[in-house]
Amino acid sequence: MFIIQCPWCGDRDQTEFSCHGEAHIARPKNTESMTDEQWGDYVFFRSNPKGMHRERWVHAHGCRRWFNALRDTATDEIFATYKVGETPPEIPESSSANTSTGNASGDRS
Amino acid sequence: MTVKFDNVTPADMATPLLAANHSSDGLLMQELSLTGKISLRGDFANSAVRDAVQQSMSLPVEIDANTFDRVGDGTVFWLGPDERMIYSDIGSVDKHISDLRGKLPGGCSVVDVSDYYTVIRLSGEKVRAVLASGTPLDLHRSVFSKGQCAQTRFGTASVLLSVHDDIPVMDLQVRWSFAEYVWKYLCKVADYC
Amino acid sequence: MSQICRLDTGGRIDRSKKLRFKFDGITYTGYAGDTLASALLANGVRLLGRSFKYHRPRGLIAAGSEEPNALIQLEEGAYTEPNTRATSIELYDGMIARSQNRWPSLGFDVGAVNSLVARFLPAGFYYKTFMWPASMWLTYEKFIRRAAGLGVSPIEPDPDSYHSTYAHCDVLIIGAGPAGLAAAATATASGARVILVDEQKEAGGSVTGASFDSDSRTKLHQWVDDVSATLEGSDNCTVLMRTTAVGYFDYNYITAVQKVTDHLGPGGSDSASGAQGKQPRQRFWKIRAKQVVIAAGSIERPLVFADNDRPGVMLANAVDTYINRYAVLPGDEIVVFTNNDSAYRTAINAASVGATVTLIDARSDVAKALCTALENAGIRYFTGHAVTAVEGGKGVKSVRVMPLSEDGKTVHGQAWRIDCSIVANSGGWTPSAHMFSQSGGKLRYDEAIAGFVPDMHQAKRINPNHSAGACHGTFDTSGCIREGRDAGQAAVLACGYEVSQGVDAPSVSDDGMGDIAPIWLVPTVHPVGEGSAKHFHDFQNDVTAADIHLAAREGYLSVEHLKRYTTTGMATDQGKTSNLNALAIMADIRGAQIPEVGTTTFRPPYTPLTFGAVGGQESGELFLQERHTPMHQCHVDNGAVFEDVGDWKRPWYFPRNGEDFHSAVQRECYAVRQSVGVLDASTLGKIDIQGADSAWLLEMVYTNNWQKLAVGGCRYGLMLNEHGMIFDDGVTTRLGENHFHMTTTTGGAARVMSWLEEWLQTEWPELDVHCTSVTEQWAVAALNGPNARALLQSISDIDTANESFPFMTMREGLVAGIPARVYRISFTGELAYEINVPARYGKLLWERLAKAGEAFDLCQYGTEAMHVLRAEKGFIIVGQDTDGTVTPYDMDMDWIVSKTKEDFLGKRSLTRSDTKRGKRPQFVGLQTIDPLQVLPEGAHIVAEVRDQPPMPTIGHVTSSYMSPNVGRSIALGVLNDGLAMKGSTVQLRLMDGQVIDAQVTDPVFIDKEGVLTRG
Repeated sequence: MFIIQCPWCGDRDQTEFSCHGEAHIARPKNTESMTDEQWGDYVFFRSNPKGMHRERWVHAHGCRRWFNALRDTATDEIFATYKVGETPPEIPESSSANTSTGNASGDRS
Repeated sequence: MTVKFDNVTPADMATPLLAANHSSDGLLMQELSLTGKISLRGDFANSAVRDAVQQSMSLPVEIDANTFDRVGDGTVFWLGPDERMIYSDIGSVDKHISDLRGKLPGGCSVVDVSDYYTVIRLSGEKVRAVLASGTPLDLHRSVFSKGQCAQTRFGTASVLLSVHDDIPVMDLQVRWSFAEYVWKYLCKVADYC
Repeated sequence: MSQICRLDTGGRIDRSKKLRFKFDGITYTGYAGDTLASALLANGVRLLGRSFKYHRPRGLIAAGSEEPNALIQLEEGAYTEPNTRATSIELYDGMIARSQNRWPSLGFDVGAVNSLVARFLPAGFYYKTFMWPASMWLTYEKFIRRAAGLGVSPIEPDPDSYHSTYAHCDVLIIGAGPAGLAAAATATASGARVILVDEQKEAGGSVTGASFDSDSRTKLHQWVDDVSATLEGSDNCTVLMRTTAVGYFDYNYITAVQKVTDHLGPGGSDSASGAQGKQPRQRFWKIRAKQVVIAAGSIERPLVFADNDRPGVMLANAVDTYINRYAVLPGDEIVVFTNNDSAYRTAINAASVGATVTLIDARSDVAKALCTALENAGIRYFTGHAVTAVEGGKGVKSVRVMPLSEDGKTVHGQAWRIDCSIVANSGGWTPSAHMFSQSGGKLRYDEAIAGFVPDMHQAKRINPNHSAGACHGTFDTSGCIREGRDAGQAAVLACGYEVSQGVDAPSVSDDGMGDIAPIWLVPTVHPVGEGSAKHFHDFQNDVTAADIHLAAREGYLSVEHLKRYTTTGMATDQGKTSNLNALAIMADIRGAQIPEVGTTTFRPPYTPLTFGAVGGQESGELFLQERHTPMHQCHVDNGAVFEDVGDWKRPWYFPRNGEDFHSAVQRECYAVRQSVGVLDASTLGKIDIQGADSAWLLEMVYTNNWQKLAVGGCRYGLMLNEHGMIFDDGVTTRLGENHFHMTTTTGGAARVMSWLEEWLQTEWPELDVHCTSVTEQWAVAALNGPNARALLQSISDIDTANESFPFMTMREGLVAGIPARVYRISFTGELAYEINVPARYGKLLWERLAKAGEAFDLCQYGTEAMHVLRAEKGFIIVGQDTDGTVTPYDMDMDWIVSKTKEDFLGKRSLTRSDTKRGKRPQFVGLQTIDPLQVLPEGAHIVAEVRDQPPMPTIGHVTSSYMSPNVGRSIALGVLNDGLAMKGSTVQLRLMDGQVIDAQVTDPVFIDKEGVLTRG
């Protein structure tokens, strides 16, 4: 169960949001001149990576704003959320969600 | 054969819970009488928009996210970057709306949503525990206190919560059709808190 | 029966409060403070159940929630709960408990014959034998369920009440033992918001049951009491006892079940209710913590030796706990069998309360001080020895002991017998890393303690937590307290608080587990799997070391395969006592190191929980929100039968004088077309659209043209998704040059609102358009029928003449004294007006219409009549006649698709190769040859009737009714190439084999020219 940082409302429970799939899919212009294949790509095909994914969310029970999130689909770590129209953040170098920031009690070894 | 009806008066105005109230140890709940509510959309960074609302309703619209401000009879709530909710006296809503529409520049929208929502006022020491039964929002006074508001979920209903006093006194705004569900929910959990 | 095993003094029980309870029909007594397990043991009851597969007699193994054997059917009737662990059930007066999995009785069990044929019931037996032929499974299943089932579920509705709640904190601490208390005290002192949960009724963890020297015991109890009192008195700390953290989910979301009144027995929540309100039976906590300290302790591992499942073979710490906490000495003659130091304290403690104790240590090399301590306590001991047999059917009578080889793999020499009734055994301690594992952290094998511990280098970053104490592999009490304090400090530091001093640990002597030399499988005179003895490692699922050997022989070497093949670790205890032993035995077979075999991932819940708790208050009428219109009470008063439409309760029909569904609907349909009817249409979605680009938006989201719609004019619109498929429809009205009022279907309201907002915010943010949902702002009464105008005219100041108020326009005025917007639109094909008033007057409008309507025989009608009436006119219902796979062309609605617009959503898809191909399923009317036959909705139109399915389907019925106005049955449906097939006859094959002939027709059955609605 995620905590998602709404760009306007801050950290909120996942159940206030809904996800609308891959972000940054612009609707094509001049749709009439597109081939079936080109149009089909836009309508039907989305990437489904294991790892970093930019996706569109809406704060449905909150401010009802759409925004984008950069999420690691393997670990569910959300690295950033950003407003529509903002430049997407770079994908972080180390996208491993496991950390070596240690245990308070130290590690037995 | 025709039947003649009197024109409606304020006494004919109903709310979904018919002014229901609940009183138990540490908790008072009451549906407030019908409040005028105006949904206002626009670019609040635009001084023309700010001035128009200031002139017609004496309310500031450039307020912090998830806060509200009360001036006289009017209250303005932040609902989104381009969205405010304005409470006013029910009798003046039509006047305010036409006034606002006349004064506001393009790019704005003004809609009467007085009946769309109802407001339940909760007060007493149990308020936070009762609301926490249904909302995932952190209601602790250190993070949600007087002057703050938040749109969130209560059970399955979208609600607007606002803190009017740290005693606490909180208002819960909910859509008309969800009011009975939310009221029953509140009464049920009130027993357990 | 008296409490023959109860000690005269000691224990944390209240001897002044005697409690009576029944187990398998016999009445016993225990004391307040007992668990069902300790009370039974006090009464000398050792046989508590039969094992899952072999039906072997079983007794208690543990004293805590890890107990695998003593599963109880608690209480009767609606209150009954299966598979509860006797060790976790707090005793109350009048308790009724039964053993499970025995038939006909515990003492004599027919299924025990399984034990005699055990060699036919190896691991994988069920899969191999019963999975084929598949058709026989239903037959086998009855027998297997009976023979191998656990308890039985109640069939009555749950009479208890439950509460669930969200909670937030800076630091959640799981476990109120020494480490958890230290963490909580430290975090609380810093001012952080703290929640402390523990499954026991009192804090202290191991301190409540373990054996210490008397000085240490006194100090520790005092320390626990002091710290608990401080925490209880702190505003910023919430202490939740009887609360088990069961699930650990991402972003530090932890669920916990609090047993609020379970300890009071059935109806306990009622008796606990008073002036302060009602108490639920259980409360489900959904906790969001910035930091989590896991201080969950550890679980003692059994040794895996021959017939180690006989009633009386217990974990050493369980013997300690029964003596120290419950003042029960499980047996006078005790053999302690161990491979580590901790059980030496058990031996000495048992001897101190009068038991005759013999200690067998598998290790040959044991610290001198330990041996001296045993000698001082008068305890016989044998190092380098093993228990090779346990004798006694329904209870231990004796054990056989033999010298163990140097490598621990074989026994040699002469066996001898030691009479005893209890075998207290310890194979070491397994850190309870469940919560850490659930949080996504990986475990690391620690040779020093022969167990897996949390590997903080492989913790999941989004779940910041700290493990402290025994669950982190630190077993001595002082060490646990230190670790807990450090973890508490680190947690509050991470939350931005200043670190407090933390609590001081009392100075006590306690070495924890001490040294250990693992022996994973204790040999006997036969190789494993030969001879009659069984070496159990998973008691609840009845899995033995021989099964692991079999799995290995058959190639199931990976831990995940091993688990599924043998079912080890898959019972309700999730292998709390068994997992490591299974892994280690497999490692031994493979000649591998334990870490190479790996470990499975722990999954929630940590212990079983009730559905009631998870649901909390959201049961009954709160299970799903019911939405009501402003007129709802009128409908209730008028005797409406309601239908669920989305979340809404809508009147389905209004039976009069005992009418059934059919008669009422026929009457309502007829009345509308004869005079006038009124429908509550308030549920229709309504969206206010304002801004200079409003018309542009409508042009994009609807298939038809909107720019030229006159102010005050209404127009029907169809919305497509980008696939070109119909997804909503409705009438939109132009209120002003840049102001529209859109209506949507009832079920599609939220979807359409979201659809518009998403496009506006993400694709067209530069547009000057704002959409505001106004669904509930307006209460809507739809007048339909030839007398609709006359009725409206009689109560309105609006000029209703056809020329002043034509079809598809809107007028404002007073209706029955109420300010209203009246839309002249029709969903029946009749003359119709939809009267919209602010919701505050909705009920009043309905009442006034009913009164004014008396002169016109106004008929209140429900959604079913609405469906029939619109079907008579061939109007579609999106979601009923369409299913997301049909285009406007498929629905024979090309008239609504603009040929001139450059673009609209879904347009390009209408010319895709698939959507423009001919012979797609197309919308048609259907009339059965027999006019009284009403087709079932969903019935398939087949190309060819065969004796039995499959038959090629060419279409199906989407709507079907008896129509009183057409005077026969009518149906709508989709049919391949249907538009070209009008006039032909098709065959429908029903589920029961019946074949019905129907003619393909136009979907409009009455007033094809549309005269009525415009009149």
